Amino acid sequence: MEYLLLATIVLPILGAVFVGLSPGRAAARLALFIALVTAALAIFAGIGSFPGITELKVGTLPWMAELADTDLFGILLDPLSLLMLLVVAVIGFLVVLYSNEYISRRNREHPHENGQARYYFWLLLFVGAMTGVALSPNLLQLFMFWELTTICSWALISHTHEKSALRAGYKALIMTHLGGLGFLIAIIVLYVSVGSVEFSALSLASPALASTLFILFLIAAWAKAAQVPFYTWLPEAMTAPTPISCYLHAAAMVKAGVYLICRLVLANGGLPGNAALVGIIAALVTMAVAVFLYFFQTDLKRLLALSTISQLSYIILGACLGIFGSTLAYKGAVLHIVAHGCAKGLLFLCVGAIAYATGCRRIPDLRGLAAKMPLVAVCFVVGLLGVVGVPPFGTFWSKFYIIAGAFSLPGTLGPLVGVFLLVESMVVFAWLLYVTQRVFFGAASEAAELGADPPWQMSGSLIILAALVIAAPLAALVVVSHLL
Amino acid sequence: MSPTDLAVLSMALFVIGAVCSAVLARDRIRCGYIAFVFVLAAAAAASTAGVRVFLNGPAADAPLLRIADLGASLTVHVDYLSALFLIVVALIATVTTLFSIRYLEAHPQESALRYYPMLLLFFGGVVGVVCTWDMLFFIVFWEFMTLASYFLVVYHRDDAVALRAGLKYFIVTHVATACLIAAVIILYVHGGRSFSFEAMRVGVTNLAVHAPGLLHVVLGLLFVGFATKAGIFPFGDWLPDAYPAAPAPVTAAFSGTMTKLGIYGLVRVFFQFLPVYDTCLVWGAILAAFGTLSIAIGTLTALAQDDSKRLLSFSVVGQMGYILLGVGLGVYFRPLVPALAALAVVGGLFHMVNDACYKSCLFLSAGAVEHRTGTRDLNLIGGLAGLMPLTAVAAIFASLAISGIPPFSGFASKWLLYHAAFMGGKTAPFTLVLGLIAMFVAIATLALFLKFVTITFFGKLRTPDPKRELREVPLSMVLPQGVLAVLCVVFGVAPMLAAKPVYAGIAGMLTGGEIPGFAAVFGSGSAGLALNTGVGIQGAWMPWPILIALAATAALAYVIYRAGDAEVLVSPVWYCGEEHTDEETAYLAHSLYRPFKDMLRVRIGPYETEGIYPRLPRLRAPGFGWLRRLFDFDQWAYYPFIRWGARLVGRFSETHSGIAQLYLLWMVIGTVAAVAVLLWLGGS
Amino acid sequence: MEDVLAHNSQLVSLMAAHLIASLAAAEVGHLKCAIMWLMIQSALLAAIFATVGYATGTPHLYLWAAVCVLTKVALIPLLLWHYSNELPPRETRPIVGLQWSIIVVAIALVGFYRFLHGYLGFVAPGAGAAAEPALTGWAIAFTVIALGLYVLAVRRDAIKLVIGIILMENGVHLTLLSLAPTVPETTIVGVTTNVIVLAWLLLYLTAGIYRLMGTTDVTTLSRLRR
Repeated sequence: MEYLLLATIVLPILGAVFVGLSPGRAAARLALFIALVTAALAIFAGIGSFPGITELKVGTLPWMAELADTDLFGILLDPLSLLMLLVVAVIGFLVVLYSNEYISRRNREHPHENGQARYYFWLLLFVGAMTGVALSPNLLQLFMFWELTTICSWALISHTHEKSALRAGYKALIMTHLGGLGFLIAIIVLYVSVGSVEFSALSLASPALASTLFILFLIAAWAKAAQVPFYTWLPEAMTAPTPISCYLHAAAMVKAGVYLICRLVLANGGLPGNAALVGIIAALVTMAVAVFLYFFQTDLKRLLALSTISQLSYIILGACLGIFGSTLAYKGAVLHIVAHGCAKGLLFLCVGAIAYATGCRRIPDLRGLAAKMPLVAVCFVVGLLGVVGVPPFGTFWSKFYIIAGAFSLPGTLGPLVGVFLLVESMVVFAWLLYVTQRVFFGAASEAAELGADPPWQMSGSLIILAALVIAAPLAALVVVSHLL
Repeated sequence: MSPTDLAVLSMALFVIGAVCSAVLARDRIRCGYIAFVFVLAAAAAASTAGVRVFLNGPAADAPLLRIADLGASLTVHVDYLSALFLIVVALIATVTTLFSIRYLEAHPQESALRYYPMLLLFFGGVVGVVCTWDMLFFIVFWEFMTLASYFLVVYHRDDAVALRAGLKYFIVTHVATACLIAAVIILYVHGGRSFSFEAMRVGVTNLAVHAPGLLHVVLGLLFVGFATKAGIFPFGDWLPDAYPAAPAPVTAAFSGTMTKLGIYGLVRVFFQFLPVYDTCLVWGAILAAFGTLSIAIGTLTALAQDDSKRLLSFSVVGQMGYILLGVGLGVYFRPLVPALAALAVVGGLFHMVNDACYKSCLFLSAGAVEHRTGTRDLNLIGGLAGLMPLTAVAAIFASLAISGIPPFSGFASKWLLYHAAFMGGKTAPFTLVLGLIAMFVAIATLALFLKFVTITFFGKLRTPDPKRELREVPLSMVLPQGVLAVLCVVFGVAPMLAAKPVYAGIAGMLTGGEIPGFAAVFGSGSAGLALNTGVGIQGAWMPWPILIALAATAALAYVIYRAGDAEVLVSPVWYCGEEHTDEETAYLAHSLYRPFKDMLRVRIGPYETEGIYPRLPRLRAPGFGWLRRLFDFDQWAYYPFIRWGARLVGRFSETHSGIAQLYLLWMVIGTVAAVAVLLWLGGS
Repeated sequence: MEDVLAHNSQLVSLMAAHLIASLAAAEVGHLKCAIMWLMIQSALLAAIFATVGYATGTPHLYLWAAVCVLTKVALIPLLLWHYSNELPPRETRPIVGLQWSIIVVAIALVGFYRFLHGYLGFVAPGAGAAAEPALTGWAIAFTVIALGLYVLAVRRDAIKLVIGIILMENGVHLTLLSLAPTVPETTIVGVTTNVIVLAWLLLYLTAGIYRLMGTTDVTTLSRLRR
């Protein structure tokens, strides 16, 4: 079982090399096969080892032997990494499946098939890097895969090699990498001061040092998860091919940032409250900023990007509330990773399908798509309801956990946060519903006349993901109850 | 099967029916019949559960699903109040689905796929709301119901008005749900970290002792949440927009079930969760006041409407006001006069049962008229009684019931309400005022429905499209109206039939002995109601003697009419010598009550009211330019920084002149400098 | 060490001659003459190696001398001669004249001599080369390196730049004698081969540039970018 888990890291990375050497369509087929096997392995091995904790020490590097008592590198699977692993592997597979059709001349937004080998090479490497992040047993290994995801996202955002894409990729690379320096500094200081790079090492440091280090980790997570003040790279990264945006938002990259915070909070009891307060305030500010910017956004994909930004704040917020002792909010945060991943992935794939068929993403130009592309409309509505948290859809449960957890805290901070979250949810709900109605209902606009439901590879991903939006959070509820 | 199992079965049938009808949605008639069969079965299960409870008492509940982290469990439990609502829901679900089958023929461009599955899921949600015994799952079902109903409101998805109404509806009710969530979580925190109804009651009790201020906040949030769904003015502002937008049977289903669930929630909160405290006085008065406001504004605004469904929608606001008035008075008198409390709340809920019947019937009738004439505009139709006699009779019955004319059902319930208000006046004079307002507005209700009935069914035949064949609607559309119309009479002549279950529903929630027994308040006779609030019999409603007297006088009048054998003269109207066509002189709907409407119209600057219904001016959102600039970190922070850095680096790159000797010079200077530094360090 | 001391005066004379030959190779304006001077300079270097080898009785220094003769006295001048056939016979006018070169060489010689005698421990801690002729050798070698650098800095002619680089290489070679006389022969072979390749590449490029642009003035090279 441990080696199957290890295979979920090794297989996509090795596969990426083979895919990178394959010609055109063969690369697509091979990548699909590898992603499928990876997802199957992840599901089989992940569920097989639940609810226990699986550990495997693989080895170390000669010059790093001093860093830890035992082998430094390996894998660790607990309920938290299980959820992350499944999200990464399953959505990774769906994205590859979707891309099989999306990267084609039939695509009205990006009608070319060049660079498929390059595309699937980076995508599979991305999947491998993210499973690596999910399964890392310590901060050092996590950091290595973390930077690997940064590089993959840079390459994939710039995939089309248009000027704006290159610029966006470069911006993403610079901003997340600069944030990543915080991570690196924190690891080094942590090792120097307590002599360990384990996740749980943070609680060994003195409170003052621990809060400084936690804020450094937070900076890394903010940059990665596109939080204020580093959020500007994410909307610009929407120039990427839509499956890539989907993967960036739903499972990879930005989720790595929040996963780091969840992991640290889980491993370290009694982190200092002032650091948590910084995280909470930043999360609230991010939500406010993102929601404010909703109203001025005319690009459907960028609107979703802003929504991601505010939803990720929920996760960081929940995790930071966990530091104050609210296990409910913490579990909600972890649940939100899954619930938001599925729903936001679905929304992006829907937008991709719209752009594929109509070549248009501008909200004012899209009207009455529902009649032309009913499947996409249904999926988009399901995704929308999943994101805004209407029961019984996904994020209702996670948001409810977080809000109930916030209210359960003694003092005034928790209830204030809870009220803020409720208000934020309402505003987001209202605006997204408004946009959905504009885009899908009413008489069809000129651009919408071109609309049609996409071929089976894309439809299949949409349907599977739509089912997951409803089912996955309920399954995740069971897993989450084994946390803490 | 126990009532619990039957309730679960009912929900399951609704869901399975939704799936089946979704699969078979291509043929809309067949899909309709399949949906109807499932609804019939589910309704049978639900009403059986309800009847069982009334016969054998509530059964023990068993949680179906637990969420240990939250302390929530999906517990289905049917108590007396749930049983009452289950029966109402079963009835309304059956008749509206039956009505839908042929009604949808008029909209061939809309897919049945977006109708029956959603309708069945909606009913499933309603049953879930009524039967669950856990506040978290209550909210889950509640939102689920809202979700399904939203899709029904925007069924005509190309209609901009419907879309706008649907958006408003979903957003407003979603915000209301957020209020509920906030209140419930506060109770959860103070009630031992559980969402069960018992824990809610504990939470309220703890708050009443430790934080009375917070309790008021919680009750306020719950009131806003439920009143929004119930359509109480001003929270139910969405209702007059959303109801007309939905297809007629859906509107009937909404008014018969969903709006009533707002009252269900309020009754649960203010009778089950809230123990007898002084808090009852405050919130009872607030509820009653809002109820009366809703009565006045809803009904008077309805008078000015010319769209049949919009007219009915405003009247829903008014009728929900009567129910809320009853509930409010009941809450108010709980600590003071328990018998009066029982009288008021039974009056309110009895009115609710009646309202479910006659208002659904009226919506169905309006739908039937729309189905045949293709319009809802009362100005364009008239004199349909001869062509659609059965629809006309049903509409007349329901109109008489809603106007509170004896011996129809509306009279019995309103009579109870007036009694409670007037007799309560001795304890608290303000209830007397509220009662008087309610009573006088009831006259406006009569005027309202005279307008509706006479314009639609009497007078000269008018139709917007003369080529259209006008005839009675098919049996599957008549039957639902007929059933509801008959019930309007039945509950009028046998009020005990409804009053007893309603009383049981209330008493079942309260701790034993809080209110006197049924016979002590309403009398023990089976022929009518004899009211006694502790000081002897103060009033009685015996339908049969009145009915016999009415019948006798009617017969007498007919005999005199026949005996007189007067000649009926038909002569053309004299227009002072001028020639006018019928079209020019027709007395249309908008002509009715004109002075009254002008009197009530308020205009202040650009703000104008629709009757007395306030209309908010459209707000222009500010551009927030400065805030947008502030949040654009790229423009004022990152890019300037990068540009500065680029300029700095650019200076260095200027040294790359392309002359190798210069590079060498730099290298030599650098080496010398490095050696000097090293020497300086090594020397010291 | 006594053996070395015994040949002290010979060595110092050889080194002085080496320095003068370097200066001549750098300064003579006629390119073929300068190449001849370079040859002489390299031959003197080989003689220094051989003398030290004889004085200290370390035979492998003969090998050094042999390699030096083969590469620096024979191959490199041959290459230079060959390529200068295609080029103008006189060098492009340098930026500064002879008087400056002499001043620079004098200052460098005095400076390095004093520097090495004052800071030896700092420059080469623990080295066994503190003895007198070796120190002078070092000073000479550094001066030759400085001269090479100076040539690179003030000459425009590409051939002169190559000669400057070779001067520097020879200076480095000479420092090795003082600093690490026991370095294996293979290293020496590597170092010298490296110089041959470098010189050949530079000359090849120079000839190409001359063909393209009609000049061997390296200050005009930036025009190549366009």
